Amino acid sequence: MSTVDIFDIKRFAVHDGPGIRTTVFMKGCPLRCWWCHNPESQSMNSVTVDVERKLNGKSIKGLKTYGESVDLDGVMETVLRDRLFYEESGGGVTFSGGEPLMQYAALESLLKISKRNGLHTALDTSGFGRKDHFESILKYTDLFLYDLKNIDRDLHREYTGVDNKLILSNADYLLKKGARVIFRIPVIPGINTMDDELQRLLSFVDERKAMLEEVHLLPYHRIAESKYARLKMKKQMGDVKEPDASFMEGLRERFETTGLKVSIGG
Amino acid sequence: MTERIEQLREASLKAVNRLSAERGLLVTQFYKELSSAQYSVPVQRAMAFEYILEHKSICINEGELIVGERGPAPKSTPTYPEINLHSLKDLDILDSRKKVSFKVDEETRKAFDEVIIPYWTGRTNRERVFANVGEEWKSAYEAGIFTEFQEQRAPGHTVLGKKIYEKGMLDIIGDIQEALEALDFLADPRAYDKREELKAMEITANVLIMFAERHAGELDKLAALESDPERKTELESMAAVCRRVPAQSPTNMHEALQYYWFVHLGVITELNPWDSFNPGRLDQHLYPFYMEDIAQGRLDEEGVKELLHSFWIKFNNHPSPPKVGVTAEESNTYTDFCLINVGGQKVDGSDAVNEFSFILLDVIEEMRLLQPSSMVQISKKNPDAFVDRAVRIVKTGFGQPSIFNTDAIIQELVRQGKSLEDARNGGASGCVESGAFGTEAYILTGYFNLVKVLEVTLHNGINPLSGKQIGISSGDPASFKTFKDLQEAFLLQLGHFIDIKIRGNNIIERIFGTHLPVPFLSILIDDCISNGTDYNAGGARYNTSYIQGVGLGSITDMLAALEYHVFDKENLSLTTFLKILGDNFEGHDELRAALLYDTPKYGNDDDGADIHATWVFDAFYEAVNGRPTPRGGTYRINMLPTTSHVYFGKMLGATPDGRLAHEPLSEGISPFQGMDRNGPTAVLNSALKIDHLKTGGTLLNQKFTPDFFKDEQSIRKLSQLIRSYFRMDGHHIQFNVVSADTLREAQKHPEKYQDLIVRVAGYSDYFNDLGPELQEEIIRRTEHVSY
Repeated sequence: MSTVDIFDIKRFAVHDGPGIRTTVFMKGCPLRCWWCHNPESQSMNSVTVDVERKLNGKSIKGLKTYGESVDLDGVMETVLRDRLFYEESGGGVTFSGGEPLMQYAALESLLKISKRNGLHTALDTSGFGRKDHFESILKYTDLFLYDLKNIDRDLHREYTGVDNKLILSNADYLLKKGARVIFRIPVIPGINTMDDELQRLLSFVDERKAMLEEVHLLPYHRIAESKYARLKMKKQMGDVKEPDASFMEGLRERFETTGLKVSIGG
Repeated sequence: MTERIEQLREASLKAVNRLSAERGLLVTQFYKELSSAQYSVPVQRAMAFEYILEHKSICINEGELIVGERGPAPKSTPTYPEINLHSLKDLDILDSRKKVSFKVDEETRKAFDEVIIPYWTGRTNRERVFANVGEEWKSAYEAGIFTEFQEQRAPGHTVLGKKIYEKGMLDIIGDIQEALEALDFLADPRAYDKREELKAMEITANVLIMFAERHAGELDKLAALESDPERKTELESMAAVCRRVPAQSPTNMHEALQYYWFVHLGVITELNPWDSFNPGRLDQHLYPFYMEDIAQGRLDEEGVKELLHSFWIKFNNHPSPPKVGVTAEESNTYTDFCLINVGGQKVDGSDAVNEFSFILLDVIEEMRLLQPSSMVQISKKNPDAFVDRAVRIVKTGFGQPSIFNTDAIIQELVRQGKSLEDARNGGASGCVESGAFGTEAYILTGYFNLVKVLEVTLHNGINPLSGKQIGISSGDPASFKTFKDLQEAFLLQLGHFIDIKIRGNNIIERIFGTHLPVPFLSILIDDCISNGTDYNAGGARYNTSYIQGVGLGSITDMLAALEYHVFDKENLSLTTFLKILGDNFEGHDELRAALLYDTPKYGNDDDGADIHATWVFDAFYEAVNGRPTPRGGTYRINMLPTTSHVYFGKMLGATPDGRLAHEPLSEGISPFQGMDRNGPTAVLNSALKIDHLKTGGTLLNQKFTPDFFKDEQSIRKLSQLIRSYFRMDGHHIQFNVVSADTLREAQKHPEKYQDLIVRVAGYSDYFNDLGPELQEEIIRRTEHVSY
């Protein structure tokens, strides 16, 4: 039986595509984004950390493991439990990570089985994967939630650890093939909020607007900070503040000049 | 909201709850001086009703449009000494207790001391009940195995149908006379009983007309004195309304509302029925009047709303009558569980939502009052716009409206033998109870503590808190070799206690049927008149007696923990486990943490736990469902706790699910507080593993932080969540918007709040998992959310 390495399955996911969804979080990522809010996803290996459990003011040690190998059937069994919720809401299953394409074979099987069961499928991806992999999952993937982090190559290399050439060309490949793509732009102060970089992001979107329906702007959030501490990972963002609501609104207006639907958050 | 409505609302909110001796004195006077053995019991009850409404003071509040108060002033609450008698000590407790207090002035105290207490001591129904139910019943009752609704209040629990919008009291009197004429003293052995009941009914119908006329007279006087010409005209037209209804059927919205209100006062003055007597499907009943008023130009939308606002405030002026003794814990609240129904299906099965339904939703949102409470009936046939509108009110966070599945309610009622039409005219009342409005007496008999039955099973019939043998010997737990042995012992105890409960209730039902008929309520509910039989004696078309199962989530987690740790993993023996429970987990924090965090729990769509929920539910259903009641009806189950899960928790030691002694149990069919960690769809799936259609109602609470309702898209998704639950036959769901206080509690007791998900734009996470600074930030944000 084939397995997949996952670190979470989140039900009633309402930010990862249309409707009520279940998001399967797959382990492993080739990127090392500074602001990553799922740092436990990065390594292919499972990580076990100490957690404190509070009980009546006392602290009791417990363990928490991020990452396990699960049968594909087991994943699907959980995913299918909520199928009526998907049907009622126009939702479905989303594969996220990490970068799901890191486990390409498992991903392809999961997408295929999901489609066979009549589910709407979404892939939350960094775009950093092989073109032929994108090509073969295209017919099983109803929606790509496609991250755009930096357009400037140097910035991208610096803050994610990888070059963005492949990412940008894969995006064009998917659009050319008529895939349904939503660009998701994490808005990270000091990393892609400089005016010239924002302009590049805007132009990139604008040039492709005929093939797009929607853009999501995802404001940086410190929600993952405690995870870094628990995983004993270095928090590279320091004390960077979250972008405020008025900045996000301004940005939304700017992106709305493309004529596309723009939403803040998923 | 108009200025005077704001003032009336403010006055209602600020009014101090007081105990009034008025009704107590009148009923004492009647029975002491005027009643006579030559009258039958029903006729005496009708005469007492007449005496009270003839002599009680008439209260008309400044600026109001709908008139009538049960007591001498808003929130001035009567007692019902023929049911239960407040001692002087009770009066002191009521006067001084911090929560849900009723002020008692010196004069009231004196009336109790000198008149009411001396007469009623030894004559109350409560004493009659306790003298008749037997020792076995009392010891189970005292141990907290069950409660008894009719111990301090009369069996009510019914909702008015459309009758009064079609018939005036004079029409109803015509029906009564027809039934009287049809009596056959040769062929019908019950002809005398029926005659007496019908005579009593006729008296009460006339009493209500007289009571309205007293208001009309008072309004005349006020009009004569009024200097403001506008209010003067208004008072005159209100007097005319009171002369039209309830004598005749209403011709416009104002008359319809005023008629209902007189009926409401009649029902809650006759006795103190549990609970929730209310107009039910208000949008359906009032829609024709609304359309006609608008078409004729009698009212505009603002005028309609002003009438409804005034009507709403009347409910809020009438808190639930206070209980006696220290049993306030069972249901410690001012609310009297009136539940306005909006939406659902018409009698022909089509979509019942109309533009007036939306107006009522506006009124609910604008009023934000404890009473009346409100609910929406959602059928698959209702439009999404209606569901979304309801969710938008939910997000304002005052717990209304609760949300019900019409299609499930109809199936539940039809399964119980109601006609499809009567089922479609039904809805939910009280907390979540399904009923055929206008045709059914569906009496709640008491909460049943499923968890306590398991505790007694684990102690071979002994209540570990008292050391008293209250159950049967179902086997020494040390001898249980398998989990099945434990289950079999539980079934023995369950059957034993259900039998005790039903035996007691069969006595109590007859006590009410014999000694405390309610002829006025009986004229309102079909087919009491044509049957010539009182509501309390089985006169209604349908008669149901419910036992409410409490603690489903808790007992499921207990059984899951016992199976998992004792029988499967053999982590510890049952004897050791019981010893640890006896010590309230003292020195066993690690075991307790394992039980709370690492054991299968109900509410996570985990079959390892949920299988026990299904098993307990089925066992409870089998023990109760279908058994006959003395009213010619049937026992049924429903799954709701009101606040009894707190009281039942107090009556229990520590339990194998990790719960400490005396802490509350889970409520309704919700997971134990905070134990659901997989989000709402998993909770709903767990809750759907029991068959809701076999009940007369289930209650499910879901917590959400205000963030959840931030945008239109999220509101839609919540609506879709509801639709999904209902498509799978879920009965009811209520969303509680958590407050900053709750989040602070969650910081202190994370183990109780494992379910709290916090949403941030684009991301969400469990509150427990956030660092302290971020938790603080979320709390601040919650504090500042204002809708």
